[in-house]
Amino acid sequence: MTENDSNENDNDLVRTFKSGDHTAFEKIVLKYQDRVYNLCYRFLGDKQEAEDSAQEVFIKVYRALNRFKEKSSFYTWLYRIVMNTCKNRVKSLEYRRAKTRVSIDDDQEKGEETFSAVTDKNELPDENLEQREKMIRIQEAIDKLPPDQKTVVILRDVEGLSYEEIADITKTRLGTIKSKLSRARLSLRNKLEGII
Amino acid sequence: MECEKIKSLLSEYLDKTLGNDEARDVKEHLLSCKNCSNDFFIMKSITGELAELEKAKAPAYLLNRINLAVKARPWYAKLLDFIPGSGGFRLPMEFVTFTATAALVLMIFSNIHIDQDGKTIIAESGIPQTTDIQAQSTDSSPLQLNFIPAGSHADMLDSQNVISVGSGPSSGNRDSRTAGNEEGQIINPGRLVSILNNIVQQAGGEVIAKEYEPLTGDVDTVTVKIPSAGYSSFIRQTENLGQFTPAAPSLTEQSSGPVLMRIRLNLLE
Repeated sequence: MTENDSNENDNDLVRTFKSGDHTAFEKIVLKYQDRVYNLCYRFLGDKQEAEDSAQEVFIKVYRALNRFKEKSSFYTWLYRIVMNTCKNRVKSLEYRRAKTRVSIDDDQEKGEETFSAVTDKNELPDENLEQREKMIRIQEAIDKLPPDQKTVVILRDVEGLSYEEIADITKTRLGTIKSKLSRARLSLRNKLEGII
Repeated sequence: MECEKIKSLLSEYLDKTLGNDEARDVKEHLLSCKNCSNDFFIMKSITGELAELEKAKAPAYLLNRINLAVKARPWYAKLLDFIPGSGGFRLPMEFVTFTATAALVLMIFSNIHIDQDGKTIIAESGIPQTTDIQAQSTDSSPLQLNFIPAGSHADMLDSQNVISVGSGPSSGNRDSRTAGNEEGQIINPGRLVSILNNIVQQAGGEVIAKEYEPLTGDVDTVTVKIPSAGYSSFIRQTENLGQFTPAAPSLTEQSSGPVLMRIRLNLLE
């Protein structure tokens, strides 16, 4: 699979898949796996959970692609699946148990693990210690946001999507998006006061 | 009071989505109010940091993991993908259970079984107890097995949804869902998967994929790759916890490649 292959137009890939050529699915995975994984990681704050969720997302895509009506763009549809999958993940009992266990037993390790998903700490010089610490604190602050606020702040501030795109993905009105984003940013401002 | 109103507008002011009048009011207020001005610049710094966060990259093996999980899906689920207009349609569990049972009974009594590549084979007498799975590799379809943990029948499920294995106490202990004990191991889906994971690692293998029950979010199926050297040990240790159906096949002496197994955890059946 070459880089050019993965740059094919989404609509073409979807139609190729629908015509029965399932190699198009691999191209879709290769094209979007990093974005999906990063979204899951930012939402869940855990490398293993992000990996499992990214797999779950693409399995859902595989199962539903034949029924995708192309009324919205493919990536909007994909991001909607990502966000719903992550929200369900957070709700699941197993996930909550795991998070509780981690926070009680292994808080220190969690911080390191969170960071290790973003960058290899061994590659960083000592002068970047402060930056590392800041990244960990930012992710922890994101983790503590309610799911709806977390969704909006990740899509807007991490992914850089427009209000309209976020409204389309979350099927929410623009006004609601703006108020949730405002609350999320103020909440982050309170959590990160003195760190940034 | 005015500060509270301004704070509620800072986010939109930052994104430049306010109307002209509101934007001018916010700007004038920020010039005269140190607290709100401070809030605004911290918020601006945070959004800057969020935009600059390094992008986490998917592990290189993710595509293989996804392909394996897609291949490992049951035939009736794959069939639904190609039925037009079946969006959101789910086969009732009773139908699935009935169909699977009927197929199993048919296979046993008609001496027919399906081999690892999905080919139908007429056996001389029932389901063979020994299968040559030498050629099993990550490219072929996994061995499909169900696993029923000991004591996982519905009547062993207490009101807290705790499943007891063995003879130990099981009722009224919510904490035991995550703990377990030596005499009567308390098993829940997460705990069972964790134990299986340990057994897989001890056998030198790896868990390649997990599938989740859509309603509960619990893991209901795991796909594992076990080296032939650790296969017997894996089966023996897993069977200490419950029972495989159909019975896990034995390896022949010539078997050398890794064994791919997709194990469905039957916790409520």
